[in-house]
Amino acid sequence: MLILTRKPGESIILGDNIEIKVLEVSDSRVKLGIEAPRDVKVLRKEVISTIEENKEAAMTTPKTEDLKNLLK
Amino acid sequence: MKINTDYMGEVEYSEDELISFPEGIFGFEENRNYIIIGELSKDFPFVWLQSADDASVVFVLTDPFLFVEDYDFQLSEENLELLKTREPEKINIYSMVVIPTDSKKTTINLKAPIVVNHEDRIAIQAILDEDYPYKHTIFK
Repeated sequence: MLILTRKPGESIILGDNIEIKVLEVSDSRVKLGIEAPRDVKVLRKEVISTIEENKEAAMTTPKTEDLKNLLK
Repeated sequence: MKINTDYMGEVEYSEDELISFPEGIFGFEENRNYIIIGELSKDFPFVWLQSADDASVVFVLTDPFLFVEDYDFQLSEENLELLKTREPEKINIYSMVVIPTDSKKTTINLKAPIVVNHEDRIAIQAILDEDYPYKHTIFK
């Protein structure tokens, strides 16, 4: 993993046209501004993890009997 | 209205049983209307969250407090606005259950609970700021 130190107001550039700017730093939070082309998806990682978890949850739909057996 | 499920056959429901998810469930945004099938009880602490829009979209939910007594979190302002209430007695909290082939490894998702305003039939999936796991094993 590449590790960089930035101050508020400073940026990093990814590729040719994605800019991530540090806007504000408080106790335990960093506010970022992201400029990217429209076709670049920007999501919090928690959202991706939640989607993956939800897909896994939706894959198995046990019947009542199966659920009852779980409790045995 | 009726919906054909593969776990319980045909289920009838009325319009006032519908629960609307104004933002959907993450990854399933095209489904906005759900019904809860079954009732939570001590002997059988599971219900199904069934999409009314698509019979194939269904989740198993449980009461997280049965497994984690000190489960505790603060909903964001945005989520409270979507839910249209701040009254705890109007709110039910559920966790999604993942049951793998080896069912002893069943987990519940404590990081992203389903929060239902049962009075106004509105629900959200919240992603908590609190440090809870996506997979919490419920059988020891």
